Amino acid sequence: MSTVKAGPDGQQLLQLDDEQLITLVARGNRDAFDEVYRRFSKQIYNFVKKQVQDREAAEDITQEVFLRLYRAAAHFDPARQLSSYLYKIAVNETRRHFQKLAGTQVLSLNEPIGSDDANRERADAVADASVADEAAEGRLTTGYLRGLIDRLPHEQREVVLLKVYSERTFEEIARIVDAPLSTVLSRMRYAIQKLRRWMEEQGIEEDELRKG
Amino acid sequence: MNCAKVKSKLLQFWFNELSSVEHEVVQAHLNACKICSQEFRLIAGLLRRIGGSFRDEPVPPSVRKRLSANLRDRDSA
Repeated sequence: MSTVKAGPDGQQLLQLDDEQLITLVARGNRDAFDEVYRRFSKQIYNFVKKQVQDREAAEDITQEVFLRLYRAAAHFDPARQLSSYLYKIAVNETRRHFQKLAGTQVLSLNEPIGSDDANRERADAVADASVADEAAEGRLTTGYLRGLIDRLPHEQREVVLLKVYSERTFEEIARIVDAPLSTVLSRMRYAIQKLRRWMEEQGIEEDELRKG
Repeated sequence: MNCAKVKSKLLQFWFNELSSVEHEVVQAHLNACKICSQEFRLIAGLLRRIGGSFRDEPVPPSVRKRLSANLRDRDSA
């Protein structure tokens, strides 16, 4: 990709807002596309990676997200937020990845967590063993918490990540995952309930959480 | 607003996504109700810890390389 950082009228791409950039991308400006990639690739890659837990799959999905953006730039509605649009593509591509996994793989204890129930239960069995070790130390370590988040059903984990990691508003998340706001809030509440229950089962005191 | 209604609003309260009127009503309830206040502190603590558990990784350079190659192929097709 080119490293020239000026728009067609000499304007610095760095100074353009997202909507101005995507307008340039729609006209085939590759430097503008580079700038979009620079701004958003890290958050999209990490959002995807935290779901699929597989570097190669996260790379493939991230690449696909930006390719799709490039192809669809001419039809992008400037009234939409570019970051939300990218997250929406990322959500759809990640779901497609899990659907493909569920449809083609023979389940094994080493598989990543997918969206289908059998896969989830199998993943739970793996997670139970690994997180219990950390909980036994009586400390809410980063690894322990990540292990619990990984155990959540995909739709709940997706909302938790969009909210807590990607810092989207609930209304924005509703548009990204194409669900009513009430459904998004329910998924978040169920996720919180599950996390609390799992911690309780593993001897984490509620008072310890309140100190967090 | 009763306890059940307040509890259903705690997530939006924590993330500051309620209207200013609702926010004030929930805040007033939390100031007065020990049970809801404890529930809120638990959710807030959990969310803070979850937020602190995420670490960003750099995007592997191979993603950008493959993307560039794909776009070049697309342009030359």
